[in-house]
Amino acid sequence: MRIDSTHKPWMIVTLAAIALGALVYVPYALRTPVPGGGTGIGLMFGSVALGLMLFAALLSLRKRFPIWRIGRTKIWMRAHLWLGFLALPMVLFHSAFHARGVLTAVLMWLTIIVVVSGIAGAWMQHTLPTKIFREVPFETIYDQIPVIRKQLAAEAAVRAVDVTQRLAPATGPGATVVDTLLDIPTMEVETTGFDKFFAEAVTPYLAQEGARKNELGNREWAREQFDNFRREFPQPAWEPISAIEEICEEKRQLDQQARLHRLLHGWLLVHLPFSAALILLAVIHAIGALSY
Amino acid sequence: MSEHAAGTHDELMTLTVDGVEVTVPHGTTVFDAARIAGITIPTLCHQQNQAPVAVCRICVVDVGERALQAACIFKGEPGMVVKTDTEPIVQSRKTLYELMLSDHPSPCLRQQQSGDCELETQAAAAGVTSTRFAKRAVPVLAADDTSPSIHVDFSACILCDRCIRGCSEIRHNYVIARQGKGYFTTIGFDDNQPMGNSSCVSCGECMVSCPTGALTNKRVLGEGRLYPEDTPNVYNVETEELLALPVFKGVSGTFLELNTGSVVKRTFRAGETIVREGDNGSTAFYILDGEADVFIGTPREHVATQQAAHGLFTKMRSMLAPKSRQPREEERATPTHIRIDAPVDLPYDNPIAQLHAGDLFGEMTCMSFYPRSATVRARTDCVMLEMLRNVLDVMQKNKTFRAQLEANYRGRALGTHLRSVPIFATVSEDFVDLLRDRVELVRYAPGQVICTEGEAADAFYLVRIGFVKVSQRRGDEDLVLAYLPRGGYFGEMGLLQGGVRTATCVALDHVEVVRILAPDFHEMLARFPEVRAHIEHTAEQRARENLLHQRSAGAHSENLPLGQFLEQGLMDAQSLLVLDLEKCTRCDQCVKACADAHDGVTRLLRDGVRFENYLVATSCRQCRDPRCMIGCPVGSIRRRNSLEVIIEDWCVGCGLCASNCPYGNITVHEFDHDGNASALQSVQTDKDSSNSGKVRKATSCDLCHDLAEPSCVYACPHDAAHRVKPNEFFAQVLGVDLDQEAAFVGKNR
Amino acid sequence: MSIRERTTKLVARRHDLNYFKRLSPLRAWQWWLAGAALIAAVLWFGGSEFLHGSQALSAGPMSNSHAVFGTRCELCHVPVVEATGWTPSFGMRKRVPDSACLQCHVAPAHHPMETKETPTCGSCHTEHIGAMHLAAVADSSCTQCHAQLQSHAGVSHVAGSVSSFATNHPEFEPLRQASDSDKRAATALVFNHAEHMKAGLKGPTGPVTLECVTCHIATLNAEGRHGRSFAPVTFERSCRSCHTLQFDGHLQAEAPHGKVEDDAAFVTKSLTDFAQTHPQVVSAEIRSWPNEPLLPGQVKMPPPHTQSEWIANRIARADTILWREKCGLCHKAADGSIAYNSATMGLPVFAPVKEPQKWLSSAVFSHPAHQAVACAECHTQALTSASEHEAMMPSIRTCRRCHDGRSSPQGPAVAAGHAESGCFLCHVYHGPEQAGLTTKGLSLTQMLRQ
Repeated sequence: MRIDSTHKPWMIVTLAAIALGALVYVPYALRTPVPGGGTGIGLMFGSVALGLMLFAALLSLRKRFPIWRIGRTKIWMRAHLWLGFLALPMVLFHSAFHARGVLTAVLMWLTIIVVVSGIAGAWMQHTLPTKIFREVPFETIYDQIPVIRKQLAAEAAVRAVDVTQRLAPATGPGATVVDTLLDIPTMEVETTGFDKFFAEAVTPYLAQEGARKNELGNREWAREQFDNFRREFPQPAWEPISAIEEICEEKRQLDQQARLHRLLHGWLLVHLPFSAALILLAVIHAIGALSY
Repeated sequence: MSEHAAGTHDELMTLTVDGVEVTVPHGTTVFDAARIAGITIPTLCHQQNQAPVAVCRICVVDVGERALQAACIFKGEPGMVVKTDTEPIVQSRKTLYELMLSDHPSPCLRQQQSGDCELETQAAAAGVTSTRFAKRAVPVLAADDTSPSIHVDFSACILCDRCIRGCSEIRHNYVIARQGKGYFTTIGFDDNQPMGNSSCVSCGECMVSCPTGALTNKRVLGEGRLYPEDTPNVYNVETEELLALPVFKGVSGTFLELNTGSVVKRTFRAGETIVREGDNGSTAFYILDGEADVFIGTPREHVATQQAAHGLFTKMRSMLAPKSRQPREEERATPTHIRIDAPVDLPYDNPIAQLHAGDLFGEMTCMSFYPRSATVRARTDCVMLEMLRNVLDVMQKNKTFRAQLEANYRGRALGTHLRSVPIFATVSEDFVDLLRDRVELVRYAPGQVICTEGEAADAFYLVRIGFVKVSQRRGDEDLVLAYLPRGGYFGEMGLLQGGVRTATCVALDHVEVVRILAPDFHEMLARFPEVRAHIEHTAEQRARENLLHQRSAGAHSENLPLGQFLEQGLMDAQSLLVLDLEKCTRCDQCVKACADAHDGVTRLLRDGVRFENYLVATSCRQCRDPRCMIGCPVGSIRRRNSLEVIIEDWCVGCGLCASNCPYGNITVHEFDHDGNASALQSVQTDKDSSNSGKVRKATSCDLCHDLAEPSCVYACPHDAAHRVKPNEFFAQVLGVDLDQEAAFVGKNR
Repeated sequence: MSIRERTTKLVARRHDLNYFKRLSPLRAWQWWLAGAALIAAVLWFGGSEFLHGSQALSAGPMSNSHAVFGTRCELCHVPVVEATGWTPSFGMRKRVPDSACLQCHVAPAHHPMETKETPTCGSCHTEHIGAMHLAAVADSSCTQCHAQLQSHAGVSHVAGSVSSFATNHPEFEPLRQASDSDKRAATALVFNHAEHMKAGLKGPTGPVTLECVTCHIATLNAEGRHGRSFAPVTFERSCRSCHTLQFDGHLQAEAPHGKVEDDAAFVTKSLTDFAQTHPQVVSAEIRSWPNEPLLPGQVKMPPPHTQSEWIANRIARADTILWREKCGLCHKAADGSIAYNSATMGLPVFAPVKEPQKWLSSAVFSHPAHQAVACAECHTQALTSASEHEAMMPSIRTCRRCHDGRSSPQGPAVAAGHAESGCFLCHVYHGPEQAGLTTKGLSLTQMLRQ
């Protein structure tokens, strides 16, 4: 999502909450000999922080039942972002900026990692969609990219045959006058060259994910190659050649999309596990600390 | 030059042909005169029953002019001396034969089959056996085998124009014409379509006219049979047998001879399925003997989004979700009958009826290639005729058949059709009986306008078969209100208010309507005042609606003159699901929400063509011109008053709407059928029933009409999914002044 | 844009409409990792509980003194409800009660008249902060009462409102005494530091320059480390070497530094013995009586003619020398005047000398802790004081120059440039003496996890 002006109310509330918390925390910290989680105010901050974390965790559940009318998911998302962020200052106020025990130290680290990864994720969600939009005009559904690749390969194979077909005039119903006017050149050398290029460069390129040393991964190189072929072949064969070039371009863009998509969703591989551990350990901490 | 005295056709003149004097009426061509004189002049492009065109130049004769003249077209003069056999003429003919033979695949098909290719026989008779000229170097179009009865071999065509004239002048079908230029000219069908895809009715006139093997009867070639030889229970039927049937009385025997392969006799045992709903087909059936059940076997379960009383697929989990009822009234109550492609309609609650001897079913499938609308199963042992369009076409023109058809319709279906019109819903049987005799059935050809918006209303129409497009002018463009299938009706408002038509109705395919003329209608109303009251009430409602539409039409302006906008057809849409690609994180929540709300079948796809920074998702666009509605065999896709397109629960899953939708927004899915008890259970238990626990239904986005907001928009975490009206939304985005644009476009229409 | 035909329908047709039902690898990994993280957390915590007891739940490291039994949470975190086992859960609170501390520590009451409820041990002594001294209590623990002290009966002899050393701690008691007579009564000894600190004083063997430590000697306690106080300054050790108590030119003997009566008896005896053992000297002096000047205060006596007159004469002179010039140098009468006046002819009554071992009644000062500082830096009057009335006690202002309250005993560190401040540094809460040793105590197996 873009963090735009619609987030303003949330930002104001969050900042106000931090200010309020600071207002409560500072005098308490100065006055209390040992400010910490166990004091009354410390417990208050701790409960707030745990509450915020549990609410943040509920977003996963909200997304599992997208059609329940319990508030628009975008509102939940914004709440998760801002209130989740708010959990960090609350934790700091709760712990009075120290974490001396083993469990508390682990929790502090987990909180920091989760919040920082969340901020990183928010940043990525703010910037990467535009990047994908601009760099991948041929964008498709990420999960379907392997399927599309296969289709591209099949299409390219048909087009490759078409290149040589175009050298012969079209027959059959629907053929036009121009088609019947064509000369039948025999372009053995060029056709062989093209077939070789197709078999050695294009087919493996379309079959694999990523470029992986295939030179077709380089747009300039590809353009050069196809330009050469267009120079060699007569005009009727240009359409399938350009179509194959476009197919390679589409595949190149889909590779880029996959890369960007993985970035866009990969940060969750840090955020989710750590927050799961965080919640569990935070609950254990709450129970343990209150008992002792 | 002798003087040519002008004379009328009544007057006679005398001329000499090869020394023989002959007296003929003025205006007679030299060819005819020679014929009368007993002298045969060879021709290739001339046929007696067609207007002469003189393109082959074989018939040239010496008439005393400076140049040789074509006898078929040159009119004789009194005292003309015609020589048909001089040396130059013979030489000229020979050269012509040689030239033509150089292009001809001798021996051509006709020559092979029956040895009577006119070109080859004439050439042989003229002593031309070989040609000096090189064979055709440029390949010609490949043979066209797509027609069910006629084989096209372009290489044998000598462009004599006989087929063209036969199709236009004699049969008035106007299918064949020339296409191409110069040496590359060939004949073409419609806009250069393969013959089988064209509007050719397989009457065979072209084939009969063709002098060479360019157009041959497939039957002669051993092709063009409905079924392969020795298919069990399929019997060839002899022409005499057919002619013996009352419905074929008056049909040309020659035609039947020519099209023998296009109609076969079939026998069915009791219990055998004849056709299955949703299947594609191209034939119609005429029952000669026996009884058959016609029913819709697809379980009538709604792919719905509300928690309706009926249906398995209702999936709005509403535990925490309060549904808000939109102020959209159902303008149409659940219909009492489902219209199908048969002489009867099926009752909604128990969709099964009977067909017996003398019934014709599958008309729409045969004529317009729509999918089968219902399943037909033999109840007793049956004998039926199965025929292709060429034969059905001829039958439908046959008076006896028409009379029978109309009587059938009046007797069995008209009543239910009339009753389905809300204003006639509660009328008494007498009223219906009275109307029954006052109606007439009128046929319209594809594209023909039935009535025009604004003209005086003078009749009420009910559609018996085919599809009628009803459109209204809204602002600066046409909005298609509906594609009316069988059972649809229109015109009652104009009739009542004695005013003008409120919409234009055009026949989309071969349409037949039931027409009730205004005077009869009014007479009815006079005798049945309760009907009048009902009508007036409905009229009021309609007037209000129209006003609303006019107001809203005035407020919106369409037609942003943007290339891409138009190219993608976005201006045809009334509602688009757009995904803001700069906010969307491609998380698939929208898709999952849609699937959740619709029993695991998503109605939207996150792929499509982009416009600006938006992805126009593949999801129903509520088009102004809803092409999806064309051709639904059971009329289950329709438009609500709020202009959404919805699919009713008797959809048979044929997939026509899906292929018609130009954006791929409709898909056909298989659903599990959990054996919900229905009255059809007993009928359905059949080993060759395809209901192996799976049911096919068409699905499309229904805007989650029972909820306040579409589920996809609701579930998007990033505020990226929006359902918008494209004209408003993109106008804002693009900063276009709508009024200015409307004026501009209006001027330049 | 596109050479190949690209319409919505063609694009849409490529897809399998059930793609979203299958878990993509990315999502699968997210859930797998989340599950793994949960399991790892459980395993870690469970393992830690199993192997190290509930140490993971510890809020912080133990203080230095308690670290030895830091693995034994249950020694201090005694279950409120008996027999509740090791599983922590609601209702089984394990706050540390005072009884747990008193298993090992003796902590007498601070004051029998403490009005507020006696604070719990834990409220002042916060554990789990790490290597710091538990005894180092924050000021707020003291000021919770002493900031606004309320007394039950009568006036308290402690200041009513003390909120910190640096701000409103009262001046030290010895310096608070107002009158001279009070000050005199404090010590009753006359000593001129300024004179004594001059360089090149006449010493017994030559010129001598005195240092502070010459007279003020720190005591050693039994364990050999420097004790908390200085040994009392004694005449025998510090003064006699210069200030001899010879009373007669004829005799070498010095009068003892003791009671007046004993000294008088000693003088009489010594002179009598001399006369008896040196009759010729006596008779010589009788024949020619040296005309010694009369000392101030001396009783004028006629020249002796007999031995006993001579003795009496000599005694009178010796008394004057002692009581007025030697003893009287430092010892005065109660009112500060010279105690011996020959007119009275009686024994002088000197004011009794008091040298308090403890100058501060309720605080403890440790000179070894300040041994980096030169004596004169705090005892500023030591070099310049000429009056016996001035107490050498430094004012509280001197202390505040370093102990300015800008460093908290709870750490994390003493800020550079400031000395550690805190009530606990000087004052003791638990009873007038230090907390003693407990009669109970733990076994080693109880203490250590073995």
